[in-house]
Amino acid sequence: MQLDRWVELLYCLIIVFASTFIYFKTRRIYKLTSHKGIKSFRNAFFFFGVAFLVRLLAFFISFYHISSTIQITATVIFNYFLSMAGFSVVYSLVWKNIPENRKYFFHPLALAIAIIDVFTHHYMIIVSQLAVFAYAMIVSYGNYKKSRDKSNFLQLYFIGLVLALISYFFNLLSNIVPLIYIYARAVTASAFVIFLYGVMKTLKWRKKESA
Amino acid sequence: MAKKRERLEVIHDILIAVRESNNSIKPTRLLYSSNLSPQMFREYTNELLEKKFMEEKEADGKKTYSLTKKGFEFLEKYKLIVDFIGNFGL
Repeated sequence: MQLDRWVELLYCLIIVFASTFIYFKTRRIYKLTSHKGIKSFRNAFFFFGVAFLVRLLAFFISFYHISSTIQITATVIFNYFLSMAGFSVVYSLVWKNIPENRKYFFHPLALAIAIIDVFTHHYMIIVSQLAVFAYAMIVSYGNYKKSRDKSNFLQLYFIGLVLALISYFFNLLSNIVPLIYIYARAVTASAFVIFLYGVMKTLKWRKKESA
Repeated sequence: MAKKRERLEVIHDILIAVRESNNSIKPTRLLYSSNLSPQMFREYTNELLEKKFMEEKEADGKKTYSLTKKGFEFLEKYKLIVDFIGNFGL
């Protein structure tokens, strides 16, 4: 297997693992609170997990040279879930200011982005995600600035979102300079490791304290 | 002016009031302790009973509220929940 294949495999596995872990680890606190922010945060990682699971399946299928129809379908599904994940990240940060029924617009919007992307050489998904994560980054920075406790994880979460934004920027550049894709994958994986670390640290540390 | 309490904070305060009354409190006393309007109090207690954080008991024709296992778990994990929400700006 070539290097780019190994990179792709490792990258997908890290994201699927991190997303699955975050989704299940936060299940109990959501069940206890029904908090809309936690719900949307969990949804984001559910969508990331499904998106990269689809990508992983497409990766294995590609060994058998399956028809382009299946590859396009897999791309549309991947893009849809990836867009939904981005929207959920933003919604988890701004849900208090947005009427709940507005979030249902995310589904048709994500589907439209997913389909249009196929005809735009993957520029649509990258540009839309750049916009989504730029907005999430601004909101997260505002949260950090407003927070009285500067030592908490807000700063690291902000850095994670910045890394996610940088990774999409690298993805955009990789259309011109293909080798940059390795950096894009590395930065995305790092962002997910930061999210995973934050969830583990917040939940595990308290578990020890209460024990 | 005092800051408006968040939903989770109100739930926490109600459950604490129940726990601190030897886990048995009359609705009127709970209403005073919770510092809510009667309408809001009804909404919150209905939600807490529905979600099984509290249970209603009746002895000698008098109604009391008690915490369930889930109610105690909420109080135990409250700090963790608040930290989680704060850490991710949710």
